Formats: sequence, C-alpha cells, structure tokens
Amino acid sequence: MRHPRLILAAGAATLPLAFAAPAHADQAVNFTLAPQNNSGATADATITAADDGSLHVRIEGSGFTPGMPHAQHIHGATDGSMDFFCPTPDADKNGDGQVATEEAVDQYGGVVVSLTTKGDTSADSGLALDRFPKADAGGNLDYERTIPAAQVPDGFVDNLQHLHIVQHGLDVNGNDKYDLEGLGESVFAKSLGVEGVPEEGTNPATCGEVTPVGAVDTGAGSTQGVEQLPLLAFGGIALAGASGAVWVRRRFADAS
Amino acid sequence: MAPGSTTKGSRRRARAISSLVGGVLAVTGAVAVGTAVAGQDPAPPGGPREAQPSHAGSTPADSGQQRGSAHAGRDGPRASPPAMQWSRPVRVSIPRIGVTSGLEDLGLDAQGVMRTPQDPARAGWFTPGPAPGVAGAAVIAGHVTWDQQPAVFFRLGQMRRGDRVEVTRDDGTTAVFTVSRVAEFEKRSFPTGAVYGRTDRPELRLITCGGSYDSRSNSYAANLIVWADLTGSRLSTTR
Repeated sequence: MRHPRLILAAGAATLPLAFAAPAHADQAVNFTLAPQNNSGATADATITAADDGSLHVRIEGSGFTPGMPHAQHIHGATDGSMDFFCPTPDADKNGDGQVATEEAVDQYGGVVVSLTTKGDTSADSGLALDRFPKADAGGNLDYERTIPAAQVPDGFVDNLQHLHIVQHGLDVNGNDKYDLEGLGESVFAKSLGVEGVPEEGTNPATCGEVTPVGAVDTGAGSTQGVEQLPLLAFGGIALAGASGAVWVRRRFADAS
Repeated sequence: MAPGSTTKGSRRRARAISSLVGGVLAVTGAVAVGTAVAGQDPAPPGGPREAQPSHAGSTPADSGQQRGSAHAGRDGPRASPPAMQWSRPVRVSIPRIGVTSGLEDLGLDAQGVMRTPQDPARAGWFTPGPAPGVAGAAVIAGHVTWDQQPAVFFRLGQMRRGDRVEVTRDDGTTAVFTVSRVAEFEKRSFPTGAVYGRTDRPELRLITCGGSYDSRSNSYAANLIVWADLTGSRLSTTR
C-alpha cells in the first residue's frame, strides 16, 4: 500500500470541493462569429445560462450593413445532436456564389431561439425584421437581452455547447441597403409566404460556433524534474555510510 | 594473551567489519541511486517555440478570412479532398509517435474552458467543434503527463510537418490528415483564432501541454499544438 495516510488526506481534501459545487452554476459559453458569404461582418457573443433558467445573451459585431435590421438566431437542436455546424461554401447548391438560408439550414439546423429585441423569441419570430437589432451608421451591431426562463426551450442549456449563432443580412451590390437589385427576392421568405423581401436581407452574414476560453490544461505531474526521491535519498545515505566505513577502516589502518 | 596482540586483533576485526559494512553500503547505495536515475523519465519533447500568437496580418496564417487556417498563403492553395459527411470520431491513430487511442467527449466547464480527458491514457474530441472530416477545425486534446507518468500525447512534440494522423469514425470511414505545422505557445498567448477559428476546409488540431512545468501550480506554461489538413479518406478496415 502506497502512503495510505497521504491518500486518505487527499481524499478528505477533495470531498468538500465535490460537495461545494452547486447543482446548477451559471454556464457561460463564448461564440466567435465569422463572415458568411463574404459579408465582411464579424462578431463575438456570450450566452450565459443562469441558474434561475434565464439566458443572458450579448453580441458585439462590426462590418454589418449600416442602418439595416439583422435577423439573428440560435440554431441547431436541443435533442443531443452534435451534427450541426456553420455552413461551408459547398452548401451553395445552386452555384450562385451565396449560401442562402434555405441552403444552409441542413448544416446549421433549425431556429432554436430568435434573438429579437423584444417579445417572442421562438422560431415563429424567425423573420420578424421589425424586432431585430439594426446596425448603426458605422455598421456596428450590438445586442444584449435577458430571455426569461419561460421562453427558453426545454433541453437548451444541456445542448448550449452544440448550438450556433447566425446573423443575417448583407449588402452585395454596395448601396448600403437590402434591395432586390442585389440578389433578387428571398427564396426563403417567399417559402414562408412573405413576398418581396430582398434575398440580401435573409442570407447569412455571420455564423458562430463555440470557442473555448483560454488555453488547455493537458498535463499534471510532469515527468521532468527529480522522481523517486526516497530511493535516491536512501542510496545517497548508503553511499555516505560506505565512505564513512572507508574512513573508519583507514583510521584503524593508520593506527597499526 | 599479550595486550598488544589483543589490540592488534581487535583492530584487524574492526578493519574487516568496516570493510564489509563499507562494501555492502557502497553496493546498496550504488544500486539504489542507479535504479532511481534509470527510472527518471525525461521531460516531454517540445515543439518549435512561438512565443507570440499570430496577430492578424502579422503572419500568413492569420491573413484574410481564413482565420483558422495554419497555412493559407504559406503553401499556396493545395488541392484538398472534399469534406466528409458528419460522423462521430471513435479513434485517433498517430503512427509517428506510436499512438492509437479511443476518444472521450470533451465539452466546456462552467467557465467556458475546454475540459480535458479524465483518462490520461486517452485523447478526447472537443464535441462543440466540428467532427474530424467535415469542414472546419476539429480539435483532439490529450494529456502529456499525469502523476509523473507519460500520458497519451507525451511525444506529440516529436511530430513533424508531413506526418500522418488518422481518425476512425463511427460511420466506418477513416479521415486521413497531414500535419502542416507544429508549434508551442505560452498559455497566456494561446492562439485561439488559429486553433478554433473558422476554416472552410476540413482540418484537425491536436493539443497537449508543453513548456516549463510549475510543480506548485501543477501545470505547464505552454500548449503544444499540431495543425493538420484533411488529405484523404477511406473505408476503415476495422472499427
């Protein structure tokens, strides 16, 4: 048995820690939103699931079409699926150079939460352009909202790490607005029965996956430095004893 | 018996005893020290040192929109195979360092930091990120040492550009990656964008610890990171 007292002491030290952790702690998850469809827009987001069941969402972005509303949603699934991810250029099935919302949905999944500025946050508000944040004159898009627990879908917190944030709306023809001249009419909006919405307004501008904070703690107890200290010490003492014996022997030899 | 001869005799006896004791101690000591020294594990091998993270525009790696790509512009465009369908990775195999490991699931802790494998002999897949083989940067992490013993990624610092890394997946396919870069970063300047950042092509990152070890905080000062690109895929012979 190896250092039984030490193991007991270590066990006793970890017990309070194990029980000290609350059953539900705030869970903060960061997302890094990268441009989609060469929009030039980027954003950083943090979603904090509080222990009272509410969600705090904060998004800070830049490079968006100024003055225009940008639909934004949390996408994926809340059933444990991990197979959704931000769309890649090969999702552009019709080859028009843009991954449209209806082309991207297979990769990033359905709307789980609509990040509106007020009111409903369900998938029903997915196209509620009057309740999505507008970018300022400099193209900055800041958003902050606390969504009450009652509006948070079942299973959301357990699946938070596997969800994505998507922001829509970009300006392809450089006139600082969404218009039919850019990419024509939105196929996606039309499929939902809304006519006359420019495709520029509904195509994804950014998509963000979870980004861990900081570095990775993949090592404890290095192999560098001195190991097997007790054996080394024992050997050292034995060698010291041997030299002592040699000294004793010399003394007696000198005396004779 | 004359007193002189008694003294002489006891001296002889003392000499003999001290010789015997000295000899035994010398042999025991030498064996103990020798065993202890032979039992010392070397510090894990490190990779090329990169003290600073790649700032935007400062290296080809971070230029343009391919923030996560390790070699965009460095090698020029390289023909890469199409992305694979999503499938859960089950095993990573790294021939250069003789590692084959099953994979744990790695998520985030409450602070948003990536968890590390519970079993030091196994690597783990970061489940919030892409699966190896699909577009994006898939991440597999493993410990370098644990409890003063080498762990699964102990020799990751020996990886070199061009080395092969294979990931066997649940759908019976194997994603084959080729190493493009190996580098060590101080943890305080961990290159988050270049590791987890968006890539349009399928890529893989292997992460372990490196740098100097602080026994007081029980942690390493650096992370050793391997960047790799998907260069092929095949049906697995075994699953």
